[in-house]
Amino acid sequence: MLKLFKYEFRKSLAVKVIILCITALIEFFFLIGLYGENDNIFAASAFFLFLMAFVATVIIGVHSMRLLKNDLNTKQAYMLFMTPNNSYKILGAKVIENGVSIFLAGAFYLILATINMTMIVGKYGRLSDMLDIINAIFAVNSWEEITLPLVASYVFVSVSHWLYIIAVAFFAIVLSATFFNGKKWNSFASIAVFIGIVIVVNILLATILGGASFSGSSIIINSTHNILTAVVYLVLSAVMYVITAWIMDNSLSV
Amino acid sequence: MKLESINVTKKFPGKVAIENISMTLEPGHIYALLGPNGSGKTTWMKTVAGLIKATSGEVKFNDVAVNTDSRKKIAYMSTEPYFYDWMTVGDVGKYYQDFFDDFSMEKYDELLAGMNLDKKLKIKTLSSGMMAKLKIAVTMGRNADVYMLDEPLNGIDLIARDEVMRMVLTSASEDNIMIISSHLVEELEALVDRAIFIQDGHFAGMYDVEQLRVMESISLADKYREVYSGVREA
Repeated sequence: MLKLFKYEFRKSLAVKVIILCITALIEFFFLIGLYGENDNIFAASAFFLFLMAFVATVIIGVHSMRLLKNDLNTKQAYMLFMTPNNSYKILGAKVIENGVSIFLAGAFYLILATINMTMIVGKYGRLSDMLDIINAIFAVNSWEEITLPLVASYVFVSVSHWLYIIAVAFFAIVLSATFFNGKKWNSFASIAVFIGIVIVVNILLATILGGASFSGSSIIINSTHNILTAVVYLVLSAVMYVITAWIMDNSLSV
Repeated sequence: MKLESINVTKKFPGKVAIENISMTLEPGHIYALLGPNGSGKTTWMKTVAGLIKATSGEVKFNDVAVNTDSRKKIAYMSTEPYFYDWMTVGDVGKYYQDFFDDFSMEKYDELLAGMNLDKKLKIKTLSSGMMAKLKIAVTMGRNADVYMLDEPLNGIDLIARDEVMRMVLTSASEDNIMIISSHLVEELEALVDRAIFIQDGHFAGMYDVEQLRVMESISLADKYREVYSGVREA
């Protein structure tokens, strides 16, 4: 599986290099804004760096879906399915590579943010000034509400939610490649299956968990709810993974 | 060692690709898999390679239905290019070395040298002829029990064809099964000792090429014409 993982990582390397180059460019403008004391450049680059952290995660996820689609619908499928690896390993390597990449991207942007904040403190001298700037950028109303357990639970539910989204997307792609291969509406079928599952599960979760399920766009101020939701998403991801690999092993022809 | 195809049928929506193909292949032979375009040769090979799931029937390798493990022993070369664009010729070898225990980098290097292929060449810059050579080199770089080469002579020049033929003969042994599909029946005739005919997705016979010559006084090419056009040369 390590070898599969290595090649999955290699396949997505170009996209990651592009993301890194764009981030480096924005960081360059950030430094110009900070040390050149140009507020407009500073504020714009800080905003785009923040945005890039989310965009990078989405791009890595979407790119992994595109790679899976290619691996199932083009002749490159032989590179994977000729090897003595079962579908559980093949799919597992893809899921793990995606999870690790997203985690590394998150860690990278977190470290970058810490370095940048340190530089801001070094430049302006007071932490409160920096918080004022962040306040202005992100419109956070009350920092007292943000506690460490809440942030940790939010990160946990974010990662598990994203993993679940990837698992559903992989399921939809494999399902359409298995049963609608060669059809013109193959792609539309996978998108429809994906949207259908996400909507149905969201409704079910909202009902079962007794509140709004995690949407990824808002912070739910309840650590327990976040952790419970995250566990549910992890279980759902595991179920989707097993079903998807089973379909690949038993019905998929490439 | 033996490879059995037992009533193998593969249906696609609106089309039966192969139907009830049954035959047993034994080691020590080079088989030609013959049939017109769309007759089902590739579908059968891909079923044996485990790339296609049979609708019914099964392929058995050493009395076990082909599965993930049998891919360790069965080498399949597709007629279409299938390597990742970002790879070099050297990367392709490393990939096979990573996944196939029977792959020999030394043999691969020798085969590349014989084909005049540089390991630094990028896949996306290869001509169709170079790609055909690469596919055969990396497949024959394995020390497999079963080799299946789908149209290995397509798109390559005469000199390279001779090299491919030489490679096949070098790799063929009493311990392995070699299956080659091709439209170039005359060229295969010098290479193979058995011929399998597939017609409209059905098994249409297996013949010993030498017996055809001796007993029926007919070449493989003439037998091909007889099977597919019903015309027997005088």
